[in-house]
Amino acid sequence: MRIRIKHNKTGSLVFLSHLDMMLTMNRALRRSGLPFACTEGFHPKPKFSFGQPLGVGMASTGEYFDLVLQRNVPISCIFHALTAVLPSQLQIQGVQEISPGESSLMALLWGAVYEMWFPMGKEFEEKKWNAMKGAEEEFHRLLIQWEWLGEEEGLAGIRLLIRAGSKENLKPKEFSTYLEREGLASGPCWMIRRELYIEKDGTLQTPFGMEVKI
Amino acid sequence: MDFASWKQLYGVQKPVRYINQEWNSIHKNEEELRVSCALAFPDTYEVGMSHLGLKILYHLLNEQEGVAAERVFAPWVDLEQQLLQEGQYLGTLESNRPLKDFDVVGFSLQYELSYTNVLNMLHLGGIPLESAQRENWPMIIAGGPNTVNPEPLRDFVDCFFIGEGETFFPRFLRLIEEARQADEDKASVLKRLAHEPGVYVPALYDLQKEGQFFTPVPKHPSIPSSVTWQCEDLDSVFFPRTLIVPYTQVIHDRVTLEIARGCTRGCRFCQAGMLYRPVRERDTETLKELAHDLLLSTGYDEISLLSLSSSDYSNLPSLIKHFSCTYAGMGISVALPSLRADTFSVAMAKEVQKLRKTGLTFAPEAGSQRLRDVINKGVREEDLLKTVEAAFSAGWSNIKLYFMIGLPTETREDVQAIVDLVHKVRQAARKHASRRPQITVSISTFIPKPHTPFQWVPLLHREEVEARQRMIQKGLRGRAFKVQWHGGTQSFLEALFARGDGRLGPILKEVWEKGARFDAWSEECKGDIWEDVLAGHEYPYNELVYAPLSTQGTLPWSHIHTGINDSFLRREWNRAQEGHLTDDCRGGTCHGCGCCENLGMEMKIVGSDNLADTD
Repeated sequence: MRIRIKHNKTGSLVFLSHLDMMLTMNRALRRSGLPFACTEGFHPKPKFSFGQPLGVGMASTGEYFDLVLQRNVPISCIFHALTAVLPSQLQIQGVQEISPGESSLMALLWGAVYEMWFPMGKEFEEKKWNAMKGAEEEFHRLLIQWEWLGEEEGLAGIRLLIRAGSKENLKPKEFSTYLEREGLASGPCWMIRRELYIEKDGTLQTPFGMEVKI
Repeated sequence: MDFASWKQLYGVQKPVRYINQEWNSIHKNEEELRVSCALAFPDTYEVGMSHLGLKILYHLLNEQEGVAAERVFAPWVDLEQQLLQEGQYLGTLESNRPLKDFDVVGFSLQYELSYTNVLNMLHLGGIPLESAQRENWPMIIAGGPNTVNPEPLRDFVDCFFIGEGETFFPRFLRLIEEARQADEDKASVLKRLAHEPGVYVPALYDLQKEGQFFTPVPKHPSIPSSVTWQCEDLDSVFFPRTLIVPYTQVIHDRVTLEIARGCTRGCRFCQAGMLYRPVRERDTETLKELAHDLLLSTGYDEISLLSLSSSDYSNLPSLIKHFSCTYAGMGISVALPSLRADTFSVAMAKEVQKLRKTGLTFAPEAGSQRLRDVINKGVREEDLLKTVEAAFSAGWSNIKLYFMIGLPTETREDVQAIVDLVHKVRQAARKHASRRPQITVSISTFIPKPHTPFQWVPLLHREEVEARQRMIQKGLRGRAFKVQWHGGTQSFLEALFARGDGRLGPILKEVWEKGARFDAWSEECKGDIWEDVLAGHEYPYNELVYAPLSTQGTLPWSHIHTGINDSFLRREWNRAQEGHLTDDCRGGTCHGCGCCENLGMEMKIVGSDNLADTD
């Protein structure tokens, strides 16, 4: 049985690297008692397939990984078994069965939605529209959509849909560096990945199969 | 997490060191607490979280009602800067409560080069460094193997606990709880504590010059003049059934199951072998149960059978058989961390590493038979070569060999013998290896340690150490060998703090003030600061480190009694110089070290089984 799992990454656990995440999920899976399938070879490991790595320091409300189980287990049991062995900052949001033949998440990946919150630079108000015009030119077809989210507790927010995956990819860090370079941000950007989009059967959808229109 | 705390951690290396709420970590409600203790490990998270003693105490203490035991590690230099800039105190991982607000801060002393970190953590935690300046709580205590010479830290620690702490520590915290509830002041509690077995309260002792050293003498006749190491019965003592699972890879990142405590092989340089006597093996059935619970509660895929010499565990074949039958199908592997160089060990390693051959490590320690006899390492060259052949024909292609230079009576011929031995090992390996053999040779410098038969022996001069290192380097050129060293400054400091007396306190404080931290990390160890500060003090550090000590005189650690009689240490030193071996007392011959009688503990060997066929 092949399943896809969606989870959060919040609080202080945003500082887990991709390697730390794999280690943590591996151990959680062993604690869960689920009949996970292992790879062949010298050192059998659970058959995981992770989505796009998330940078150290970034939060997410839309992380996905795929997993193979040796036999069928009811989805609700998988959900509860995993929730019971993970800290609250890595909350399971959903579990879906996927067809055994489906390509890997990474192969289907098309884009990602990010929110960035940052302390405003002195020229933020004057430059915020012009600088974004510049960003559209600079990042061109990698930056699909953007909108200002307003200000909260002294931080300005922006929401972006950018290309991600093996064909076209914009690193969110490149965008935050741009904000700093243009004087819009006066410090590091606090980033949250909201969702991943995949391209499948000619449509854009979330990894859970919800069609998206952009 | 707010933006400010996020930004602070975002700006440092490896922020995952400082985050909290790992699986199985324990957070207690503040309302339920009656006594709080910070378990402080004076090195990084990755080092501290690899240490079994810390894990045992953490779970043991948190099992007690009303007790909170929380962890704190040395912050790396970048976070230290941030804490100082922001005016924040160093707090524990669990609650971020500043160290100054705990009832007790307990340091684990595993390594002499962590002492500047002890001072730094006190300072960052908002606690005055010297106990003389601290009328108020918290009480600063220290435990671990280094406490067998507590003198270099006597100015900074209120109370040392000497020995194995499983029985002492919970009882001690009850006592602190009562004292805190009765609003008793710290000085009067310390006076009471000084009468507890294993407790040393340096403030109750004056320093008196005796020969070349200053030694502590009780200020009052009621204070005991010596303190005896405490030791535990392994079958009645607590062992955790769960362990904290770090989010990131730490140095020893697996279930560590302590199968035995102590080793009576009697290597004369080995402090742990002297301290953790008598040898006590844990019951095999208990171990199987513990392993089951620990693997289930942590999700680790590896279990390490820990002891000073794991191939000596009497029931090892059946224990390993059990593990490979029960867990191999789940992809869980077993590690044996300390193997003797014999074919039995290879057979055991073969059993546990049927699938994955991760590398084998052996420690001949010296190159020549003469010198191995001096240090009482009862390994013969033919044993080692046979072992290597067995290992390589069983499929291993990497082995690591540990040697020491600067051992007592060592000559350049003995050093050349290391080179020759490694070449023989390579030849033996090539006969059997399917792939090109890779031999890692780790050369450490012998450091004389208190309470060993070599405690009187000087450290070899740095120039000579370097000359001998060069000999080995020249002799072991080529792609088949990888040679590793220990730094000269670090060896000197380790010897200085292993054997130094109470006058080292001001020196330690001054080097800390000038910026010494993380001396155990070669890239951080600042030799120039140490040199400057030592030059400014009239402390006879050169004599102390580089000259032999009198076997008749009082030593800075003479007030600490490990259970081993001085006469035994002297006899062993004489036998060493004559090149006589002393065999393992587990065979039945008592050599009169004295620890069983003095500590009221018996050797415990589990009924060994005859599982002849281990293949």
